[in-house]
Amino acid sequence: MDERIAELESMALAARAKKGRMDAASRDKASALLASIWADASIDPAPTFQLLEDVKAEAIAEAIRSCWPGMDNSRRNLFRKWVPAPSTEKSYRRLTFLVASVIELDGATALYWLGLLVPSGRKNLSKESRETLASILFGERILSFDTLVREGGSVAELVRICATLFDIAADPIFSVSALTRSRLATAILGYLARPDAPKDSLAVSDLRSKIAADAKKWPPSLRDNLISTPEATADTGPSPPLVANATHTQPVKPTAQEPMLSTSAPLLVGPLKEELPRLEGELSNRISAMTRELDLLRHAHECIAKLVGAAEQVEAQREAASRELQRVQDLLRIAESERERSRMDCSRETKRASDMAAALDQEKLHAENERKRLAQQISANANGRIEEFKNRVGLTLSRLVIDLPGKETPVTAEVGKILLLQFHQFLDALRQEGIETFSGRVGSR
Amino acid sequence: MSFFGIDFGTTNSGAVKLAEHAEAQHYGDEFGEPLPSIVAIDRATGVAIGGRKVWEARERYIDSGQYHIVQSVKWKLGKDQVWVTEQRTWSPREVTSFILTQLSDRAAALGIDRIDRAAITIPVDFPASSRTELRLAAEAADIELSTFVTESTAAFMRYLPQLRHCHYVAVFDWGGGTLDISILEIRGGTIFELSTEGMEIAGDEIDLDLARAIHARVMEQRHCAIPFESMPAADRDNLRTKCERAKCQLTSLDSTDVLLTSYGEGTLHFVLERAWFESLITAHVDLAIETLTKAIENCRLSFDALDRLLIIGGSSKIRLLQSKLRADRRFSAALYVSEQAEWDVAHGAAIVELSPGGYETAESIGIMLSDNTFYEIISHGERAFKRQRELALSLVEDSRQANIIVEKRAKRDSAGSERILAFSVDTLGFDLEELRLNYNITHDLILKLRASSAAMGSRDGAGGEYGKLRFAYHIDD
Repeated sequence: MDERIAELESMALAARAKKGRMDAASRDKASALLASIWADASIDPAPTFQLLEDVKAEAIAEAIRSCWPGMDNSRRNLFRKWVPAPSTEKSYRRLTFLVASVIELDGATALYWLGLLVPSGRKNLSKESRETLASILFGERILSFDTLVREGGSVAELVRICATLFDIAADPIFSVSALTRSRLATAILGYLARPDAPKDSLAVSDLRSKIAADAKKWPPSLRDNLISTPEATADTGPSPPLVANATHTQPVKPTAQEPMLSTSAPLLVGPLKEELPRLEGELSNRISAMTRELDLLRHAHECIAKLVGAAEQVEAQREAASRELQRVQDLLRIAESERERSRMDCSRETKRASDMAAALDQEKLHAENERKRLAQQISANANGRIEEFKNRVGLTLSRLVIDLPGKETPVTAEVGKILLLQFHQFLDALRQEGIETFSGRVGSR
Repeated sequence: MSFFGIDFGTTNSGAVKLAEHAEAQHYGDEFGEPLPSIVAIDRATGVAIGGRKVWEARERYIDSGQYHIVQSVKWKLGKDQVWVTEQRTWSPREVTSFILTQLSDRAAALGIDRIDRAAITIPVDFPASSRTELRLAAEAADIELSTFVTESTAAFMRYLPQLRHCHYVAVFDWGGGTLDISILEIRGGTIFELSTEGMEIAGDEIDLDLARAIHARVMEQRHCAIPFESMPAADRDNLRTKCERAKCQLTSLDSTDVLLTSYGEGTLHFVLERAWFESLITAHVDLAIETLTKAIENCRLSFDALDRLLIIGGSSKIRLLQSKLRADRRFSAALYVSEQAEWDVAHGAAIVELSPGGYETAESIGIMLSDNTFYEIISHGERAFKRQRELALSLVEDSRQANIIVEKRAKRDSAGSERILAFSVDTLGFDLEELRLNYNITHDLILKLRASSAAMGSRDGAGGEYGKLRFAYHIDD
């Protein structure tokens, strides 16, 4: 692979990585590489096609403009075939740049590509397309349309394209300069003055009337210059010298770019002296007008500076306001989160209070049941213990009299003594159990 | 919330309930005393009666021939003995359940709550089969046996606040049927039973000796020689009852009268002097103190090291015993006499039920491996667990049987071990065949093991159980 193609490929990849962005140096370099490749007949430029998708349109256009004159027909055809009909804004813009690059070099190619940009089937172009065409073809760089009208192919197509271009140029929205409009108009009228040009079609009449209407808005000098052309003054046919100068003599090319001089200089040498005072007056007017325009521009510049200052101030205020807004939004978020937490706390506390109330009720019920149970228990225990006490007293006493004889048993002195002692043991046992008796005192008496 | 402890004694049984903001409640018989562990079963009807009424007339019940008189049923648990009546047959478990039900009924009558769950006391050497039977008897009485607790540990727990900081405590429990002595060591909140000693001469025997001595004196006065056993049953009962009362009287008096309007051919009036009574029982008391000495010496403990000598049980009220112990310089400083001697053990069991704690193994258990090394499976001081554990073993020989040998040691690294179980398990006989050994300690503190070949399944396994493991009770904070 040729080193230039490889280098172009790496640049294209870099541009793709940057989403199509290229700095001025890269763009110039890419343009130079591309021009060099396409101008070199020894290498096949086809591999560059796929790279062109990533190279800036301006760079491609610049490359084509510089290498187009050196390319033979086959290579030009190769490039022409590659250029697709525009389907996107990008491809539309790229094709417009290509038109601008060849419009002064190859009228037929320019017309062909313009035919793609301004399809015949469509009645109106979109606003964006018109803007693209206006900004590139009628922008800063003032192009000459003479080659287009001179070398263009189909007459009808040329008229259609010229009508569309002039319609765009005359549209006040795009503020195309009067000089540019006058150049386009001059070229068109020059073409229409040719013998092979259509004369009476509706389209031609319409175009002529549009040019005439627009010419009224031009500065007097431009208007006068247009009027001075044979086509503009009378539809009697073209002026042979004008055509001859424009079409056959290469050194006259600058003349084509300066229609006022090119058309009048050879013819008005004689009357120039007569016209000189008028021209001086006009120049004087022009100088004073330019002074006023300069003042106006200075004033406009000051206004713009003030506006820029104001805009910067507004921007600073906007940023401050934005920061304040952000702060307020943050505070709001915090407040919302706080509120949410408080709501949840509240909800939880409410539930807790409710649970506690329920638990309290439960506890009360439980306590009441427990109280009842304890009361029963105390009662049962008290009764049981009394019962136990009685039983124990009974057991103790019955143990003492476990052998008590029957009531009818004859009691001997010996048995009587035992019974007496047992009776005392009986009383002692009662006292030991805590039951007070008086038998002891009675006995002592 | 109530917590029950039951002292299931040889002669008397009692239950104690502990509840919040209430004094301990004692449940025994209908006279407020411990329930005599005696049951009379009617041979004709199969109906059982028990308690004080049977105890007071036990000689008459025996002589009547109409009743089976069941005493000391605790020691019959787990044995084949039964009591056959015309209607049904009573087993030791059923008789035990009957006694426990009587206690539960008494608790329900006095305190509303039946005994639904309790810690029950057992002697230190109570057999494993008896423990299992006692648990089943409790279940039959609708009592969930939460834990066993040895009588000495229960007695210690009764006085835990006073004994908490002691290192060595001797528990001297002299009741109606036996004297049980335990030497306890308290280390890190764990109660270890260092040694136990006992004798079967106790309150009942003293009553009988006293009755016999008085009978001999009376016969001597009457110039006849009728043996005590030849006297009518009612006379024997009456004299023993009078003697028991007289014995109690002498704990606070110097003399008392034993009086019967009818004893044999005449009346009986015997003035019982404390000195004479003490001369009768001196041998018993000396033997009891000697047994205590032996128990202390068995664990190679000096008498000075003994922090407390806890005296409990009904017979410990005998003044001669207390005076001898106070006079003995070996024991005088450590002596601590219980105030409610009959209820201490049940009270301590209720405290065990109330307090968090549990048994820890006081020995190391392991299996002997093929290289004759001891592989510990239960370590010393490990809390007794109920959940089953599994150990994987491998067969090192291509034998169709694996021999499992279980031994115990004082601790894992201690020298000398005792074989406690050995059994064989069928295997498929291939090298490194996996054997699974499952083991646990049951609620009844019995070690159960079962081994089987992993390849053959658990149905073809074999196992064994061991109920004589030593445990120590740990008091949790």
